[in-house]
Amino acid sequence: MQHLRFRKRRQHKSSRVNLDSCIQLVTENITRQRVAFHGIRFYLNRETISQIQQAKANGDRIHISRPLLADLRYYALFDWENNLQSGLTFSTYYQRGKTSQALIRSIMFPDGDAIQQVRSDSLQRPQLALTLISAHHWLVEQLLRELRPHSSGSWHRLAWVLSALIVAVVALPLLGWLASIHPLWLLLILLIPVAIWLLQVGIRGLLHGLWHQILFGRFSRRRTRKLALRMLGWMEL
Amino acid sequence: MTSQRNSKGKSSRAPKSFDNWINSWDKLLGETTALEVNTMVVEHITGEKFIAWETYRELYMISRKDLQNQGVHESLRDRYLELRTNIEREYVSLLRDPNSELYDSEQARNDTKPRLPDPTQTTIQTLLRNARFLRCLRKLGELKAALDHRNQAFKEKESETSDQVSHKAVKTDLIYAQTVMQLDSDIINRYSQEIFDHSHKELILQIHREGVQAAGVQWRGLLGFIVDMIERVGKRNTSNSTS
Repeated sequence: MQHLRFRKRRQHKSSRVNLDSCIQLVTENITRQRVAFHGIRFYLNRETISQIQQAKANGDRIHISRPLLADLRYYALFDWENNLQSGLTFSTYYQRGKTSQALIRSIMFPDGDAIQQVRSDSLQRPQLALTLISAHHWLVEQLLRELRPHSSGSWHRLAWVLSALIVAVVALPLLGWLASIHPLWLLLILLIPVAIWLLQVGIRGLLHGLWHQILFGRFSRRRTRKLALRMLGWMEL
Repeated sequence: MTSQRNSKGKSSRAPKSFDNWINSWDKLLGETTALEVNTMVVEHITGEKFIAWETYRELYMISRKDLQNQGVHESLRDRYLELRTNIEREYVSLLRDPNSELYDSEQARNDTKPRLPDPTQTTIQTLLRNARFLRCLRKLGELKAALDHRNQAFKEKESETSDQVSHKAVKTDLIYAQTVMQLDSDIINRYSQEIFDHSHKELILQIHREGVQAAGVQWRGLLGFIVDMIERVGKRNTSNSTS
């Protein structure tokens, strides 16, 4: 079993709490091409729990590193093992002394089935059990909520800038040359906005087609799919 | 009971194309009628991943003779057999339910109990894709994993089996509470008998309530993402078909 640890990064925004270091994705390499996804583990201790409680009280959200987010998206969408039936598993480990023990586990199936398990001896400490269950569910909520991209519109802007540039480079010299033949040709200048608009529609379609190809094309693989999912936040419909 | 990891190609082969991808999600979301939250208290958290075919095969194999041969602890044998009875019951009720896609009018009239289909048959896939059967199978799989763990613990301390331990076997590894929220807003709560005698009854109920509340938000997050993705890729598809 291979454990992927995600390096701690600096906080991007003040309202985002970075807990990457206690989130672990558990995968298993079956063959070179096939990787089985076993779930996500949260390693909590007193310190991280108080961080979570504070974030929860302040209404802060979690900051998730882009590779972790892309992996999560990938497994949520393409973990085909057994036709989407495996669900997403989250386990919370609590550090007691030098060892960590799994105390909580929850599985969310996309068809709306959910199972949560609590280790029986953790019931002996009711306060801790409740704190852990609330931290566990908060983390899962945050991760699943972040799956959906907050479109930044960069895709849109890129298409406009590209089409404006192309028009500027191609149409303006052409117009200058035409105007030198007959000034009436200058009226074509009125068509420039239409040309830019048409071109950006085309560019957007092209970029979207390319993205689709990376995701589902004949040559799409795990790595390319993850790349496409990393681009999600950047692209616009 | 040994749980061999046998990745059976048929059930786990990845459908790669876009159409398969959309169709599987479409079917899955179409069959979704309720959010169901189950709370279990277990002796030990296991990391087993649910694989429908394997779980089914393991449950199918359970028989008194087999349990005896495997040397399963006596106090657990009835609970193993109960799992097998439950899966059978679910199968029979699916065959006799006119609303289910597996409805068999002959079976509905027949008094003799139909037998569970052999897991090596190819027709098993239809059963394993049935949403209701899957939900049942998942829970039984979790219960079986807990029993397997308990059996292993018994084996390890063979000499120290006391009444206290076997009594505990009844107390944990159960689904204590279940809440089903139908999409038409009906809510059904079910509790196991054992919760009423449990010394941490209130705590378990509170944990369950937390779970129910969280599951709603979590599920919305997951579905929101899936639907968003389907829209994104679907948009491209429709523009392709119209052009």
